[in-house]
Parts: sequence; C-alpha cells; structure tokens
Amino acid sequence: MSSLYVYIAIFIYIIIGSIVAYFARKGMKKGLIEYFLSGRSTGGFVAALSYSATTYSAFMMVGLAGFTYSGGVGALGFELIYLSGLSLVAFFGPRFWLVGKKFNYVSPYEMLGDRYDNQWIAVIAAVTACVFLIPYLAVQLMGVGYLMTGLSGGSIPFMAGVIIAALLAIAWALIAGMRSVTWTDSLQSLIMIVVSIIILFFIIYKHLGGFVSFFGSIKTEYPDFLTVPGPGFFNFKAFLGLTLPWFFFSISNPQVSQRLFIPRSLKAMKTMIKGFLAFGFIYTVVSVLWGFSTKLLIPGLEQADMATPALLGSEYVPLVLGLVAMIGITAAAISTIDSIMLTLSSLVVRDLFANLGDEENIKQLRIGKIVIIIIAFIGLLFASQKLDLIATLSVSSSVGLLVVVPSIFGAFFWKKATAAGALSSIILGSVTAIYLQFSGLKPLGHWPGVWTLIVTVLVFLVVSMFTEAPEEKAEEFVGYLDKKLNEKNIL
Amino acid sequence: MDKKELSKLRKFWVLFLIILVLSAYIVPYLFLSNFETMSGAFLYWIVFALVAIFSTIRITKYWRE
Repeated sequence: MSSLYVYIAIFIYIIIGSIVAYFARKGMKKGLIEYFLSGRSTGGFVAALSYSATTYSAFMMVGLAGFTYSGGVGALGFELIYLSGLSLVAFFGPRFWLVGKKFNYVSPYEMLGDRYDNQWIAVIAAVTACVFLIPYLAVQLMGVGYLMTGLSGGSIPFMAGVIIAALLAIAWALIAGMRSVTWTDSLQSLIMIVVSIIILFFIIYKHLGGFVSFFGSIKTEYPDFLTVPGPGFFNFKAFLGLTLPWFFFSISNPQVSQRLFIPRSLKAMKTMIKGFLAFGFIYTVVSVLWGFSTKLLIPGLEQADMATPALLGSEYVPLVLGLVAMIGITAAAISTIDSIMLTLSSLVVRDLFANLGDEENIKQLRIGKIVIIIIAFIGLLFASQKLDLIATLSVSSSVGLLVVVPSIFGAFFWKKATAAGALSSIILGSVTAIYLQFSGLKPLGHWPGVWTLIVTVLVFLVVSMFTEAPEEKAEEFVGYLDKKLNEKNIL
Repeated sequence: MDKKELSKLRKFWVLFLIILVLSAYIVPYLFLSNFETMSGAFLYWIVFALVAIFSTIRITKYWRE
C-alpha cells in the first residue's frame, strides 16, 4: 500500500476528530472537576461509547484475533469472562458515583486515601498505576507505529506512527480534558465497531461463502479449535491466569473506574452500562471471528500477533477496507491512550500533589496539563526504545492493577478494613506481580495474576485484623452510602 | 423497598453471578472439552455472556433516582 494513501486516511481522521474535539470545548466551564470529570454531567450515550473506546484498545482486533488464531475458542471465553466482570459495576458503579459527588472525589485513589484516612494509600496506588499504565500506553503507541509501517510496506517509519499517535492523544486530551476525550472517544468507538463489522462481513461473504459455510469450515478444518484446551494455548491454568485479572478490570483500572464518577445521573449510568455491554459483546464476537477467518484464509503464520496485519495486507482485503481498518485500530489505540493520560494526570495532581489543596484548583489544573505532556513524552520515549521491559510491564498491567481490588472492596463493604491493610496489600501485591512477571516463575503452574490476587487479599485481611480501623471515617462513608442505597434501591 | 428485602436481593444476585461465572470455567473445561462443534464451548460462552449481560441490566433496573 502506498504511504500516500495511509497519510491521506490518517489526515482525514485527524481533521474529523479535531473538529469533534473543538466542538467539545464549546460550552466547557472552568475548573478541575469540569476538566477531569466533565463536570460530572456526561450523558448516558456519550458515557457508554467513551467507556467502550477507553476499555477496548488495539488489543482486540490485533491481540484477541491473534489469541483466536493460535488458541481457538478459548479466546472468546477469556474476553467474555472479562465482559461479565462488568456485573461488578452494577454494584460498585452507583457506590463510586454517590461518594464521588458527596465527597468531591476526582480520582478513585483519592477516594481510597480519604476512606482509609491515610493519604499514603492514594500516593502509593497512584505510583503503582503509573508504573503499570505508562508502559501499557507505550505499547499502544508502538502498535500504531507498527501498523503504519506494516501497511505502507515500510515506507512510513515506525517513529512517524508513534509520534502522530502521541500528538493526537495529547491534543485531544488537552483541548477540553474529559469532555474532548469522551466526545472523540464516542466518534472513535463508532469507527471501531463499524469498521470491524464491515470487514468481517466482507471477508466472510466474499471469501468464505457466508456464515454457514464459514462455521462449517472451522468445524472440518480445525475441530480442536472449537474446544478448550484445544490446540493447547488455553490450558486451564493459562486461562485462569489470563481471565482472573481481567475480570476485575472495571474496578482495578483507574482510567475506567474514574468513569464511574462522570455520569450526570443514575439513569445516565444505567445507559452507560447497557451501551457498553452491547458494544463489548458485539466487538468481542467480531474480533474472535476475525481471528477464525484469518486462520482459514492464511494458515501457517508463525506469529499469531501477525494474523490481523497479515489479513489486512493480503489480497483478501481491498485497499480502501485496509485503510479503513487501519483507522479503526488506530482509533482503538488513541482512545485508550488519551484516557489513560488524562486519568494518570488527575492521579498525579490529586494524589501525589494533594497538599496543594482544593483552593488551588487552578494551579492543580495547570500542573495537570503539564503532566499530560510529560506522560506522553515518557510513553514516546519508551515506545522508541522497543524494550522487552516495556512489553513485560504492559502485559502485567492488569495483574499489577489488581492490587487495589481488596482495598476497594474493603472501602465499601468492610468497616473494619484498615489503612495498614490497604497499604501493605498494595505494596506486597505489586512486589509479587513485578517479581513473578520478571522472573517468569509460575509456582505450582499458576500465573502471576492468580498469586498476586491471593497475596494481596490475604495481606489485606490479615493486616486489617490486627490493626486499627478509621472508625469515624468508615462510619461517615459507609453510613452515608447505606442511607442512599436504601433510598435509591441500589443492590 | 425495605432494607431487608434489598439485602435479600443483593445476596441472591451475588450468589447467582458467582455461580454463573464459575460455570464459564467449569462447563467448557469439564463437560465440553470433546465437543468439537460450534454448539459446544462457543455457544456456551455466548449464552453465558448474554445471561451475565441481562442479569447486570436487571440489577440496574431496581435503581431509582
């Protein structure tokens, strides 16, 4: 594919996205809550699309399709178990939302620090998030770089793609904060889903004889791919190790749990949840079927991650669709990157520099904007180095972020949970995650996610039992919630 | 809804969802591992996800402003 076509496609995408971001700026009010949480007034439809775009990164059409290519139907189970983890939001969503409004929280870790009456929890959790999410962000940038290089036959340098993606993410995050992020996310989520469906239908009807014949071919040519463990990749321990951290994604990852603060009402939150579930279900099934169709059309690839790039670069996909797919994947990456940048920036200003105080909102906002640029720059630097270290940290991001899960459960459901319990579980959990990920150790054959969850839960419970809980704060926080939950019929 | 009823419903849905999610591991690995058709693990996970989705939506339907 000529690099000119790639540049034209990217140019059109930039123009449309920037127009949307510009319009988002109109009507934007001043202040920190407005910038980081869009004034807690996002409508259900935009919240749903933005939540979807933020959650689903370039991993879906590339990584998940690759998983299917090498491991078969287990990839579907993995991703749908993740989706079922959204049931947690039916319980935690309204709780986050209620206390967020009442105590004016901007970041989920600020909430933990306040609930446990210990600012260090917010600081340590924010540091953990930066350690795991910046590499994750860098890998998304690298994804765009590889995609553009691959599709242009090498004529677009890797770093050009990386820099374009970073600049776009910075611009769309800076223009109007959460407002421009959610608006551009909405546009991008629509691009992602429409593009993936069009290409799937094109391939299946044009090259695989329609769905009946497609399913028939999978059954006759790769019958073991329809079972687990099947070809072997999804043995039970691998499946458990992959799914367990992802099941808790909706509360463990700050860039998505922060979204529980933004809906304008409970009704908007309902729409957000419904919309996301519908989006996630369709996008998951489509991505898995992409993987299966590539398996049928281009078998024998050595690297499963190359399944999607190979399909897009093949004679089966016409030029225009290939370009459209590239935009779809780029949109998936950028909508995740800008949300992570914005959330990390809010963690830095609210949790690391919390001593600035509320009255210094403007100062916090200014620092926040600088932090977005710094985070993007670090991500860019990491991406340019193509280090294994970054890939390892990125893979372990869902594992590493698990360490806040017990503290979040405790904050809402266990008055006797203590700050010492929360702090020690976050620290020891992170050490376990990093150690196991880097050493490659799998005690008793179990993956780092399983051990990290066990360690962090046990430490949280045991330390909490032997230390003193912040009774007054727990009473205020949980007492307020109890009253409101009853009023509003929240389970 | 009174507090007792709410708490009963909460327990029911939590238990139901735990069993549902456990089934997404147990059924495909234990009962469908030799079932080499689309109506095996593939169909099971699709149905599982749809039940999880509708249960989640059902829980949010109790809410009122």
